[in-house]
Amino acid sequence: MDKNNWDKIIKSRRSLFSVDFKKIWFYRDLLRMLVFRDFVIYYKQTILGPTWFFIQPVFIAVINLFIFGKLAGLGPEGVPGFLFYMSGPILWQYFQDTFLKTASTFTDNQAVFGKVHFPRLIIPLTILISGLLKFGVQLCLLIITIYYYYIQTGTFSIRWEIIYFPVLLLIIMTMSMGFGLLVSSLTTKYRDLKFLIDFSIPLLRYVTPGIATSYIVFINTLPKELIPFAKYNPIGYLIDSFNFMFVGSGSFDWVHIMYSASFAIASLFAGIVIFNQVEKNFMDTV
Amino acid sequence: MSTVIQIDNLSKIYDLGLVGTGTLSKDLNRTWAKLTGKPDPYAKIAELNDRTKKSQSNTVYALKNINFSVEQGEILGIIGRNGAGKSTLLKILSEITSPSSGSIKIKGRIASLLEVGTGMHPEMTARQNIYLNGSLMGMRRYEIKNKLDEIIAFAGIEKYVDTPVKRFSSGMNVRLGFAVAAFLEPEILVVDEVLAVGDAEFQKKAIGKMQDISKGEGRTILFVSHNMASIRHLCNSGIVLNNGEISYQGSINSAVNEYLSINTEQDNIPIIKRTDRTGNGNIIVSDVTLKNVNNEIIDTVFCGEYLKIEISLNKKRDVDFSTMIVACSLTDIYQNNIASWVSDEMESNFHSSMQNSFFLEIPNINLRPNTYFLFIQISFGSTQSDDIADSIYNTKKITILSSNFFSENKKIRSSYSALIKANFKTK
Repeated sequence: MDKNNWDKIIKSRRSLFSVDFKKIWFYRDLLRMLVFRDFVIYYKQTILGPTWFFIQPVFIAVINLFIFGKLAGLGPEGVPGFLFYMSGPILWQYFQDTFLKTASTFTDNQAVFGKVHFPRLIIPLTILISGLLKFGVQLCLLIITIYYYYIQTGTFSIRWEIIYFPVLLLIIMTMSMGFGLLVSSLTTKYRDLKFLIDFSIPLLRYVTPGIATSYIVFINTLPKELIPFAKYNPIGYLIDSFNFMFVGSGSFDWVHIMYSASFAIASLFAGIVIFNQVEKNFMDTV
Repeated sequence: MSTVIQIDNLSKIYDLGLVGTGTLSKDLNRTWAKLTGKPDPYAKIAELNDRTKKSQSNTVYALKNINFSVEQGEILGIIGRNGAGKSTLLKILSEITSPSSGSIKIKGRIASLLEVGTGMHPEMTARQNIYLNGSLMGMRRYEIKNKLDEIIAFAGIEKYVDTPVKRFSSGMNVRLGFAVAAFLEPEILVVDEVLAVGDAEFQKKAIGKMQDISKGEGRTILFVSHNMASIRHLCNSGIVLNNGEISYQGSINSAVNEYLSINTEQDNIPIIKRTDRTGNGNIIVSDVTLKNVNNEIIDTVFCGEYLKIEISLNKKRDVDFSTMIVACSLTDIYQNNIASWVSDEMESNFHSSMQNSFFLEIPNINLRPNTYFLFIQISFGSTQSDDIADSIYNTKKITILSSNFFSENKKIRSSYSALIKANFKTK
């Protein structure tokens, strides 16, 4: 028998970075159905339905405006506080949702993973895209609100740097997926990490520039011990730049963006390598 | 015919007990061994997987040195007791987990049905779930679209296509799940015990479909089940797994017989010591012997020949034998009665003075060739449950061999059934 005739060989070892992109592409219909499923079932049996997409950021903006803007006096200068407190959290929320959901890929999908074989990377990709839909809807809300303020006050807060927004979005997608993959692979066996992440990520938002206040203000007002959290926080620069593009309060610095981007790419790369190793045997340990 | 699956020296090692932080040091040891090119240090102390014996080491072989190959168009039945390694083998074949050593080479697209309806979401409609489940199994959207009507018709759910599946009965869910899988059209189909649920009509339909797939289209099927009847019906060759090793490989009939013999050897306890019996215990069955017409002890008999079943009793309390009613029956492995004899109907009376043994004489054992199991029930006065002294299944295995029952030149086929002489005639 000719040895090259086999279509598939199942062995115990697998090379470090052997992602079968062809196979993932073949399963694109699955990706589509899973995203569709997420969307269909998300607000099933709710009265307000997808309106919740709008309600969440508005409420978060109001609360942040009160706590950070009024109580802490950190509100941005020159731009409407409401806009500022709406834009940052929208992007943060996308990052946090994607990260945390990806981090529990294996544990959440045990039942399916235990019964069917398909490229496991489809699940993180689904999370990434489903989240993007929600993010897109909320981004529209942000733009409508910006337009509303333009009519009311005559100041148009969107800067020309917005043309770099796709790059920014790509970096944040890469980063949330990369971090998520890293954690997901490590938590199949050692679940401690999951607890740590679940409570520390929502806390991290308070020391992330762009949420409570912009990077510049943050660096100047934060206690010395907390400054590194803001300074070396790769997600902070992205949110700050995002705010700058849309609301006009923040900073836009290519050095900072490159810093975040390299973080993102490194984490995605490492994430895929580990994910790939864990994927083949995780059913025995999960 | 060409080989489509080739399995070489396949082994799978599992850790016993809890997976916890204690495994960190083990992990590091393993990683170190891997880096330095040495074999898994924990593989050496692994032992064979016998569920019933307490294990000495912490790792166990779920599969050990499995070697076999499957030809195109073959329907291979994989049988074995719980924990014999059947599911592990299927899981490795379907790439859900990877082997510890060895390899599997596969030719063609493989689809596995370890469960039907995997990933279906209760909130989505049947139609949406067909698309979801189909794409999960590796079907393309257009393929599903082309077969949608057939799938719906096969599942028999035309009326409920746009109803969320949470409103479905569990049987309907299984139908839907199997219907999707039935139209997958892979070259190799791996099926775990999925037909256990669903009604009789559907089971028939499902088995029929699988036969069509293999016969009509030359596809290969690997089938795992505990239902010997459906295994025998569907498969043409078989593998028996026992404690992670292949204990038999060959035609399906001999594989099933091999499996049944492993099974009975395992509970080869003397009847008197058995505890899986009911009744008040005033008297119990202590021994059973089979004899032929020359009074020689036997365990097989040709269909249509003489058989004597000698039953010994063990008296715990004083009983009046003249009121004793004995019921004997030959059952299949699922304890379905095939033939039975009850002493009071036959007006066979016992004497008060009889000793602790008697026998049942069968002049012609007219049963189809197969392995039958003897059920015995002893009661006094009536056969109501309060009056039953002892009732016990599988007291003896009786193998009936094929003979020329109907005609001089034709042997009869094996099955579970009684034989009644008859003739086909035209007017």
